Amino acid sequence: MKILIVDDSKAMRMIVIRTLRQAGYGHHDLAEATNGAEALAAARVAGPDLILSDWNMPEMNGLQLLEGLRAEGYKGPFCFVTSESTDDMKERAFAAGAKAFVTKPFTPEALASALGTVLS
Amino acid sequence: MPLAAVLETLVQEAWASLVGPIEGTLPVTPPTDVIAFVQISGSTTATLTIACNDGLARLAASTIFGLEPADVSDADIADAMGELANVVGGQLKPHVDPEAQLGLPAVLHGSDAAVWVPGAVSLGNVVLETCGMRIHAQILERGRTPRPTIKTLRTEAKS
Repeated sequence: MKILIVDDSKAMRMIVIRTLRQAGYGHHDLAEATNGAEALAAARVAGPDLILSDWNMPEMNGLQLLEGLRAEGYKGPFCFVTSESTDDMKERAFAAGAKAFVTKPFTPEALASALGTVLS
Repeated sequence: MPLAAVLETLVQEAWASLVGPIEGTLPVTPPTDVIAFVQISGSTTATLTIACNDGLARLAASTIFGLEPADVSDADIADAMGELANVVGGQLKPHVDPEAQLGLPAVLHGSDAAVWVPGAVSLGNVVLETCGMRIHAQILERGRTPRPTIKTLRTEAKS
């Protein structure tokens, strides 16, 4: 399974990757992108099976990325991993097609639980 | 809960998740070597600042990136501290203004690093300690004092 991790922070991408490994997802193909625009380009080429994306990023934010992916026909599961988690943001995320919303800071268990739901 | 107590909890949680546990609290004495800050803009404009000395920031970045402290670059420090501010800022936003927008974090690094917000008042201020070094977190609200107006007293035109 190809998992694309999208976050403008290298530190957070490393934390997500480390957490994925702890949660038993380390054997999958883990790729990284630093903003929505880069992720959109990567998704066109690689066709990830799962996207874990931050919301607040320069150039193209996570919601714009999700809307762009859906407009291009991408139907794979998309999960937000973000420090903001207001009801309004969750509503907009799920309306746009997100499957899960994980709030930073997160525990390995919280991320694993969300991924379990998304991938089931 | 007072905003300072919320801030203390959020910084502890974010640090514990990203880096490791924080031990105890200390009286307020701001360090100034690395300052990460992020703006929360809505009905009010608040700026969250998280500051610590270079040694602690380097230690945090080395833990996150799995590097020796000596091998950590300034960019790594800025990334780690910026993300810490981003995580705390995102959790803090609902306590300041749920409808507000969270900006992108920025980081200042240097012996004279300081964040100045015009007419700011502190909404919360906390100092924590880990590994014998201090982390100073503060929420500054931009002043609400009306801007001074300029009144024309005299104009002269050449005839």
